[in-house]
Amino acid sequence: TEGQRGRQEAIAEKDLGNGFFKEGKYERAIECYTRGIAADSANALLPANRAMAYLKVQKGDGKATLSYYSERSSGSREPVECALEYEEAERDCTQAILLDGSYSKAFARRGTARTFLGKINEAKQDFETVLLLEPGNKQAVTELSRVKKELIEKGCWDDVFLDSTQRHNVVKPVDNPPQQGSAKALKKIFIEETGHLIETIDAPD
Amino acid sequence: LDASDSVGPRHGPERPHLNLWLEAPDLLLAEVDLPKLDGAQGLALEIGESRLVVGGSQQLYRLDATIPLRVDREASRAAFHHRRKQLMVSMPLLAVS
Ligand SMILES: [Ca+2]
Repeated sequence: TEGQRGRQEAIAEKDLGNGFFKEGKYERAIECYTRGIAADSANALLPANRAMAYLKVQKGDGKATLSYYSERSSGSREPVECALEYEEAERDCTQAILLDGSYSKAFARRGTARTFLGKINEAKQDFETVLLLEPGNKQAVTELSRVKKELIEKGCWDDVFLDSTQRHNVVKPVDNPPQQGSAKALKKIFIEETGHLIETIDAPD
Repeated sequence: LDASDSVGPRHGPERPHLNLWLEAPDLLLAEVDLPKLDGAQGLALEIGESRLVVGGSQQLYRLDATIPLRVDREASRAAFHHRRKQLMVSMPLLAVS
């Protein structure tokens, strides 16, 4: 039937695309995955793989997230001119997730795309979903920790503290008796202010 | 008037409630309840490699705790949350070597 032929064609394009991908020919891989999607729009692997190729085409290697953070910390450039591929990647991952809600790699790739797009809290939610689907996934654990530190650096305290799902990992402190703790190497930490009350506006109508 | 009726420093600072948990394998978070405070003014936080000290604010509160982990003082951050009247502390851990 027509549908069977489409599905077979999609799988053939996917295999072809994967071959190009392994050779580092990401643009050609994207062309194959695009033809595959046209042949069978119900195959979740094709948009997920195209998303991965979009992520690779941007950076040329697998260290996408690391370079993102070093760029951020140096403050030299915003990933604006690259946003198109990251948006494509995000969209493809969303499509793959719609087709298969348990596709953890699609959530992980969307999380990566979203960190590049500056959607840090959405990225956090994606990596949290990866961990629900695949407890202990090392990439997700690493990325989540990085994303949480980034949120705190941006002053998004509520996104980390209020939304925490890790409070059960209690660490037990030991109270020091007065004057007993060593004063050496104590660092004074600046205290930011957050979570202000919403002020009512007493303006005449 | 009997001066001992007034609530203040002579009763000694109160030990605030502390929540401490591992948010990630390398990230320790703390929440300190400070319901009598309206802001961070006068509040003091000091962090040592394995120590968390909260004080100041007219001696209303005093917390001095040893933490059984090694935290990165330089990367630690804190914020007073006005609605929740809590001090939030983020303490990345030093790499285990
Ligand atoms: Ca939130």
